[in-house]
Amino acid sequence: MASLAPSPDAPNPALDAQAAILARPATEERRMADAIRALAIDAVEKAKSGHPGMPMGMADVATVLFTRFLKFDASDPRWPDRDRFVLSAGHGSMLLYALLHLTGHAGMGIEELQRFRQLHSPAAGHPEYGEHPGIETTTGPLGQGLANAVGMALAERILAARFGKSLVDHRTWVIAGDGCMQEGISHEAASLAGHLQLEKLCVLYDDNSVTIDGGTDLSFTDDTLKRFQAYGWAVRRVDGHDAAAVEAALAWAMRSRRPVLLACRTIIGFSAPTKAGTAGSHGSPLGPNEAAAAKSALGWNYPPFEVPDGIRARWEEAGRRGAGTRRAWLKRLAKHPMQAEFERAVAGRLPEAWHEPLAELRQKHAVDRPKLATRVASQKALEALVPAVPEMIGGSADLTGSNNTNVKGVPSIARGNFAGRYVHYGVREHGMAAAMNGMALHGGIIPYSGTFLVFADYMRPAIRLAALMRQRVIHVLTHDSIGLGEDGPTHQPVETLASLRAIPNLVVFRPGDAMETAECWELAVKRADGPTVLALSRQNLAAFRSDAGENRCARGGYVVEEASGPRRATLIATGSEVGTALAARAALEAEGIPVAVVSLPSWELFAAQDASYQAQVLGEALRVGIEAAIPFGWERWLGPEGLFVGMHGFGASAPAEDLFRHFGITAEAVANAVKKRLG
Amino acid sequence: MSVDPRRLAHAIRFLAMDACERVGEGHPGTPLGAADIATALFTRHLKFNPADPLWFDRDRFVLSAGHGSMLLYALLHLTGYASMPIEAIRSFRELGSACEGHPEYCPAHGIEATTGPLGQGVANAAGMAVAEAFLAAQLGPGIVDHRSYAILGDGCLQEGVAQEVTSLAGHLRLGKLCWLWDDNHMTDDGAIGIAQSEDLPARFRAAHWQVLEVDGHDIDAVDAALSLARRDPRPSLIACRTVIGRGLPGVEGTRAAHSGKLTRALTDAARRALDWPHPAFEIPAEIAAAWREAGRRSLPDYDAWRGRVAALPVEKRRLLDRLREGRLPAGWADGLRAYAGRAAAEGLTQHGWKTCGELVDLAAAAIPEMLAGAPDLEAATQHKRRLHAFTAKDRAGRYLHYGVREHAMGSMLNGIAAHGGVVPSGVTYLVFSDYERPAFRMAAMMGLPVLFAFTHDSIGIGRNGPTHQPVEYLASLRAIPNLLVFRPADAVEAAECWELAIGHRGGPSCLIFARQPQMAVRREAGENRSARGAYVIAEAEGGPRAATILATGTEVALALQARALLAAEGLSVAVVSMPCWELFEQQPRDYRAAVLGEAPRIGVEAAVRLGWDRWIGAEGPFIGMSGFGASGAEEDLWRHFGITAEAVAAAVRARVAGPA
Ligand SMILES: Cc1ncc(C[n+]2csc(CCOP(=O)(O)OP(=O)(O)O)c2C)c(N)n1
Ligand SMILES: Cc1ncc(C[n+]2csc(CCOP(=O)(O)OP(=O)(O)O)c2C)c(N)n1
Ligand SMILES: [Mg+2]
Repeated sequence: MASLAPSPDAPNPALDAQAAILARPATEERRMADAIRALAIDAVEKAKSGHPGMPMGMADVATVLFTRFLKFDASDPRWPDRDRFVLSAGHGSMLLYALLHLTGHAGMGIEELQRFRQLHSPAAGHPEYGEHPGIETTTGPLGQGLANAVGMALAERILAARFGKSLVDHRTWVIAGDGCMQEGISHEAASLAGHLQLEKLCVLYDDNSVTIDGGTDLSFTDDTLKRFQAYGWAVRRVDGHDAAAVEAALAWAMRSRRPVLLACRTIIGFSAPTKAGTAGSHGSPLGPNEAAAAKSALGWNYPPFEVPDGIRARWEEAGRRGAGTRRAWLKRLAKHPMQAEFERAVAGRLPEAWHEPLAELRQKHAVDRPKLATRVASQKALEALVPAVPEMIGGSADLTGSNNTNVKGVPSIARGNFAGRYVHYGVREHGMAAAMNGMALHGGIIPYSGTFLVFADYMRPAIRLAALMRQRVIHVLTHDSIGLGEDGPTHQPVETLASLRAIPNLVVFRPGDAMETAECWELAVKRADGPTVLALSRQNLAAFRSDAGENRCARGGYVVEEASGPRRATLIATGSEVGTALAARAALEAEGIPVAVVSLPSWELFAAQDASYQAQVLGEALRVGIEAAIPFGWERWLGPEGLFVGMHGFGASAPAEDLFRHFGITAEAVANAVKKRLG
Repeated sequence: MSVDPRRLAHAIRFLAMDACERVGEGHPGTPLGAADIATALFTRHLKFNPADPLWFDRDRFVLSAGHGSMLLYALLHLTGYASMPIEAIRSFRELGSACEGHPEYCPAHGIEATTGPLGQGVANAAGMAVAEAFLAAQLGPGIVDHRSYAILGDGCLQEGVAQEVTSLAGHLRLGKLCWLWDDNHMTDDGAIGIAQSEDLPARFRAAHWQVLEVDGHDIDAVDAALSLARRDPRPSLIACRTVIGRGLPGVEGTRAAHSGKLTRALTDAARRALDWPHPAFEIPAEIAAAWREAGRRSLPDYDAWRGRVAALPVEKRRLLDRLREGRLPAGWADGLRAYAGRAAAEGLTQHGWKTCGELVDLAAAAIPEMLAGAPDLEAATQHKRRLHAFTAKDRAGRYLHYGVREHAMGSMLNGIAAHGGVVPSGVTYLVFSDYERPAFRMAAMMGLPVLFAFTHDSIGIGRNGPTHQPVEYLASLRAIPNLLVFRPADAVEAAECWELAIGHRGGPSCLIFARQPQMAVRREAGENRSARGAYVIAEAEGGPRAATILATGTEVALALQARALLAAEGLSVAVVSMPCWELFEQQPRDYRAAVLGEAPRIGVEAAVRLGWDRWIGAEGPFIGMSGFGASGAEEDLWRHFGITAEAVAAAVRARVAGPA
């Protein structure tokens, strides 16, 4: 990245402030913080890329946090009752790696830091969940970490309400910068946290007045403290280079009855002789001269990657600080009446008989063949699942009545009452999805929630991260096509299915009737290693399944109706268009044209089947894709000669039946297209 | 005005009620609740002329709470827009009606923006205020001096994009921006208290807004607040405390008012309660007349403005006409073409972001109405160059520092374009385009000529890792209808694509560049070959095509290297560069067939395969990504993920050797 290093003669007021701070006697704490700085400088220099400024600026604050407040035990970074630490300003990854290293976490030795930003190093460019157990979440896209933390803090409250304080009693700490604060997602998340008064959430705001472009006076001059106060947060400002002041502020934060924003005034790139306080230290190596001068300004006279034994010992001691607390917790857990249930939920294992009520529902569907909108069928599935799976926590972004995500009798979560199981997220899709990621990452919770499918775009950055982190997060996205009717093109997804199918590790389901909806729900809940989208209809759909044995959606696609003779065509449809395909089949069969119908509720699962199954389902005859969406991606299933009946642009405002006719997505249109092609 | 203004507001209420009742659908809550606010605005403040909806110096009004569309339709009908006769109101939400479920952009009919997705409209309005300030600096306040208003609900204010815009608008002191908040404490799920408990006025004050709090059913109070807003140099938020569905007995103030079904019994009760004995869709003459008069209120301003325009010096007049018609200046593409020529002659190989920046620089030099910007990635994208910043003090600046606010940028670019007279562009990393994606869809639906540029387009960004490496983005952008997605291979194609994008006035474009150097692959310029979307950049030599390699962006160079490797083995392979799929799809079948050829096809793109089967067939080999990227040195990543010339050559060999 090109640097915006200050020209040598530009005045830099931060340097005076820095000089004053450096003139203070170097306490042991300062030396410990300097170890972080030195490691950050060295790793970035060695990698010839990275972001030294933020770790150098926040080293003092992080030192106070990790040595005096953060509840953790380096010997078990997955201890369920640990405090969560989220580096929302993910570009400052070396801060986190240095802390993990210094506190004695296995798997983050000095060799790893030396391989910062190299392929297969756990010290990746940005913190990647799964690369090291001490990394609580993947960050880098700004604002996400803060919203994840809101989800974690909410998860803590929910689990504490369920299992009691003796098992669940921890805090969530976040380091976030100006960038996170500018992103809209921080508004959504902070407003929700303030509303719910998540008092064990503390955001350490790296208030350094610098972003990539330069000073925040270029674009960001609102009063962030007042803003957070308006959300109902407790706020305070502190000198981020004064360890005693930071300690007092954190002690105050621990007593707060509201979420806390602590604005830590810091100097980005602290100790760098010319680049401190400037964007020049944000995202590129300091360069050998500046790096050497920074270290000497700190009085740090050790070779690269070397930390003197005394300082290392103090840090390792900090890493063991929580060991006693953890042992005491283990004892409590061993005696706790809910031990097994706690361990099960936290491990992400489903309850023994979780799917039985769902199996019953499927039996019932097979007999009743109800004609339901799949969003309503989804609600029926939830009625079976939610009581059976206590870790499922639902919600909606202000569309509960439309998404049908609530279950009768299941109470909502509210400030002071976290025994509920349903979150009113407000019209905050992005904050919601990122908080759900945080809840899943926290463990012990399977979050599901809803909005309209078309608004998946608003939460897409968070969906991507759930996929990247392989988290079990379930999105109930209703009103999945022009079938929603009058609300018109702004509300009618046409490209949304394709755009979701493009995301790796995301499973997208579009069930076609109540039975398929129940099956897809079963698969979504079972899918422990990634997020799921359920695309559901607003309009009623006739049932086409009366078999409740095998979960047929598990293969992603299957033959719903075989042709009465050798196939002349295979109609391949998803969701509401399976019914269209079946009607077209009936018309064609009546004319003596044998046609099969394939339902393809999940491309991802179908793509994972072996080639012979795929070939058998798709057949050799003419293939016709039917989906009330654009054809993007369908060539994969239809081949070069295939036909597609669907959308070719945005929708329109009118009753649904009018629209299906207007856009030519009808059984008649399908039958005609087939006949025309077959000649 | 002799008619009681409350009766004017009732006219809106009953049109909205009657329309919703008739169709059995829709959202009556907002039009009923905000009728008094809108009456104050439209009868006393808004500068507009229904006889000339496109009047360049009109105030802009955006209904950000787009679900309340009947509010807008009623206003347009009552104030005398010819395109909004009572029949249109009667056919609310029917196929082909001008009264669609949500307002769909049609400035000629008084609809300034498509709204519905919450938060977009307020951002559009802020973009319009930027455009106004920018044009006023260019054309003078006698020609451009108007305000931008939005009516919004709680939902808009819960959305993150609104906070981004709030922060930026306060910073920029967009004093002619005024948001009228329908403060009804109610959203779809119910009373606001179930999801929100913030002190909203305090938050706006923290962002340097003027905040006025009034009774939203007191037309004089709203009027007075609007007057205060006009006099304050800060943007204004008028918090209008209202009752949702005001006028529906038993329903007003409840959740059911938001979008509950209206029955005849209910509308009858409302008629009695509000003393409105008139039949459905009928407005009494004196009220209709008063509304028409309101629609003519700005005529003196209008005539005076026309007089000032007529008196403009010829050059200024030409400029104004050009800007309001959205025409580009003569010769605007010359610099880009010359650049293509130079790049071809030199064989220019350089970082993608640098090329993009140079082209924006050239375009901006030729197009004085171009307004560029980025969300805090100036250093990494280098698009500012000779431009200086648009700030609170300098409205002539042509580079907007959006801060780390991608969504606000995208939606404001839409507002700038919808305003007209300005050519807006914004650049960020491709991976963060997801943050602004809702805006792309709106631009595409509205057909707005917005230039969305992106750099850092693949694993080629290297060490920043998977959070920063797009893999699914090309597919997800290509999926959006009416959006051109360009991914040029080198500097020559880059210049061609920028020319095509700027010249495309009927919709938005995405222009996508690498972080790493883009190798020169075109050594000739002249004809804009990218205009056909895809073309044969290197034909098979020494025999008929044994295979055709299709590639985009930086992977075209890989394909050419593979071609050379294969040529050495005696295999004749053609390479097709595909900078824009959408344009290629528009070409005649014969052309497409000739380009794609009959030989086996292989696709190369450092992204997921979705969509490629269209060109290479389901069995065609594809060299690209099958999942997320990783953090590491760029060279290591290409090898690790097997996207190399050798891998391409091997895939061709295998494919040519036997059936897939
Ligand atoms: C969503 C998103 N947009 C843009 C970026 C690119 N980016 C990385 S850091 C940064 C500036 C952040 O400023 P700040 O948070 O103040 O960090 P500091 O410079 O103080 O370390 C930007 C824009 C990003 N990582 N994520
Ligand atoms: C981005 C987005 N998310 C969700 C919706 C669905 N939606 C439409 S209106 C609404 C509630 C809006 O509440 P408010 O703005 O207060 O309007 P009111 O109920 O007062 O009319 C919601 C959630 C939407 N239109 N856009
Ligand atoms: Mg409201």
